Amino acid sequence: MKTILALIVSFTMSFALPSFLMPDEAFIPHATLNNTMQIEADIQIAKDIYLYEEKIKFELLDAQGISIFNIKAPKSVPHDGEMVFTQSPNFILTLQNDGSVSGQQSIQLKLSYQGCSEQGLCYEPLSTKFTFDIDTSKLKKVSETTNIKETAAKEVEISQTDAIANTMKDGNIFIILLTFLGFGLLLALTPCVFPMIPIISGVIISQGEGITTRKAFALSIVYVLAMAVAYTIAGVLAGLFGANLQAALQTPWVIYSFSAVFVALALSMFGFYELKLPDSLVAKVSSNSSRTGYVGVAIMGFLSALIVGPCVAAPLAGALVYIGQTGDAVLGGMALFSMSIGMGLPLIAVGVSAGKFMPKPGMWMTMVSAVFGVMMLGVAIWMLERVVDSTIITLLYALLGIGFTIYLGALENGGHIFKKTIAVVFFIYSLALLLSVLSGKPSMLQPLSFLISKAAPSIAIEEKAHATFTKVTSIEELDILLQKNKGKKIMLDFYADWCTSCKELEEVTFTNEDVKKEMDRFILIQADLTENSDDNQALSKKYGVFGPPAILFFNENGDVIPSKTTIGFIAPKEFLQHLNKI
Amino acid sequence: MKKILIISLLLASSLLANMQWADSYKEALQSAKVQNKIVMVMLSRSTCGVCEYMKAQVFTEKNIIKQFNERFVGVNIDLDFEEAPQSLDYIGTPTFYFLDKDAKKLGRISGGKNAKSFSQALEKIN
Repeated sequence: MKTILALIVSFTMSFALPSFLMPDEAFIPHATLNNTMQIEADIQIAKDIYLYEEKIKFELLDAQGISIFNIKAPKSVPHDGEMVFTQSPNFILTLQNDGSVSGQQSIQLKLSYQGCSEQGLCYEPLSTKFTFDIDTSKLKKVSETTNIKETAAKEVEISQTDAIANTMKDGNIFIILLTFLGFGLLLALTPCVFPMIPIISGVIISQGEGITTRKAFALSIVYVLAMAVAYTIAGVLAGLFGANLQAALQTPWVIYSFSAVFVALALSMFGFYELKLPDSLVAKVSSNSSRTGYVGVAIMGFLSALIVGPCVAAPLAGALVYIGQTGDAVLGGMALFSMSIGMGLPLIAVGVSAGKFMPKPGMWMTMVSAVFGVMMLGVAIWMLERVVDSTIITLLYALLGIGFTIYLGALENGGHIFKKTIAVVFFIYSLALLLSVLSGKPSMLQPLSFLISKAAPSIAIEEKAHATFTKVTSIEELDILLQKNKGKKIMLDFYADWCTSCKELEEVTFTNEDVKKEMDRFILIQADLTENSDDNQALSKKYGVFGPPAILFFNENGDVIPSKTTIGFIAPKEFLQHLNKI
Repeated sequence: MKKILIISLLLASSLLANMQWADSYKEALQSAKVQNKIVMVMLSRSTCGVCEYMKAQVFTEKNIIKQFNERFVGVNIDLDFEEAPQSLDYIGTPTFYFLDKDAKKLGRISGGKNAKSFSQALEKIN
């Protein structure tokens, strides 16, 4: 007895045998199948045991045609710089069927995990296998390319774009379409759609006097439908080819052509000539006179969608990301169609009201035509902005503004006070624009800023103290910079001279003092896509950027943090919050 | 002569102010033979937080380094890349085995400890 005791004592003493639980006591994994063919899994962990979140992996073995669609996992907590579960975690796995299997199918699930004891021992990586008989008819049938990472057993932070892409992955078709209708309506409130308002109104007014509300409505519908079709085709093509459609449509000759079309439209608004299809063609297209103009309107709708619409906004990019990812061209196309309908609803309202207030011709009508003519010239200049130097653009805007306000009577005595006020304000603004061009510092938003920088040179010096963007135009140039700055956080801004939102970003957001301070934490790189060269396109393609502006963030290892990507203009305050989270 | 060698080695190791680690299990046994020391085999994994703690917090402690280098020579076996030598079994990492120059087991510490407890545990290894 004594010897046994001595043995035990010496054993525990010399070998310091621990009070550690054996692995099968520390971790007890379970997995069961529920009625809806989801797998409910959990790992019971003993007291003072924790599990590494990133070491928990679910894998299907021998599961032809069945894959993991989605894993619902609890929130993990930080523990010595790692994310861990300190409470027994529960997971719900949703499976999907790629359509190639039917009936009962036996699958194996491999659950791997690793954890440690708070007492200071990390257990070996463990794994357990479970076998289930799956009724494949109850599984979600999803297109095979929906590539959800099956290893991602965590609630991934998602950016706005991803959120939209995810809506499409999870939701049913009706909800998806409704959501996109909503996105479209929201999109209609952004400046992206403004240029379309003069076009639709112009188109309807150009139908001439005596247009009925019904016809105005019909024309608007045709216009919006054509626009929607354009988006749908663009979306489906993007899905099929993964090509950068927006870039293709922004090649200089396309832009020049359409700019010319708008100038022509404007001139017809001014009454220089009447714009209509040749009679013979009209007769061919339609023998019914009441349908005259529908084809033209449809063409206008189609073209304006292509040219004016794709100022990159999150919803559009989200839909394109989704289509690009899944290759599900049909659903993607439907979603884009419903989004453009949403975008078009306000346009229909505009079109109808334009028709309604048209019936009495007179001086008033000439004036309205002139206003729309000017707006169309504005659209023509706005489109040129993507390919023409900003000095010339600002000059053109200035001239247009001055010409128009003089026409409105800015320099004459008399006239209605309201009209006169607007005319004078625009006249002054246009003059300021002209001055900014002459001063060599053209700026649409702060045309008189050249006065300030002269008066207060200290500001310029202060600005230099902040980090500035290094420009790159190709993957090679970027890779060199990324290599050089390993271990630092990097902010990559996709920019182009022809991109209005990029300029807004530069002039409004990046000049904000607080934002500048916060941006100093990052190495700043700007991908300049102005030339839209092959190198430029390869660069955007590599990072899945559909068009500028887009801002990507890289972590210290030089990897993109997908959830932090922003697309489109972002206001200083929001951007600051965004930066704070990185 | 042997004594001088040992003293100079000790001096050198104390100057280096690092724990003495051999590059391989074999080399550790060799050093143990030459220096008449005990081999400490540390079984670790890169995924093991406690191992990181030991390396970063405990093995950098001056007293531990001094105490260790007097009597021990260490070797780290990363189980992600190599297998544990012969009959050194473990349920997790870090596990420390203490062996004499003929690779006979003298003792074992399972799991990490803070500097004070680790020092006490080292004291008991003979």
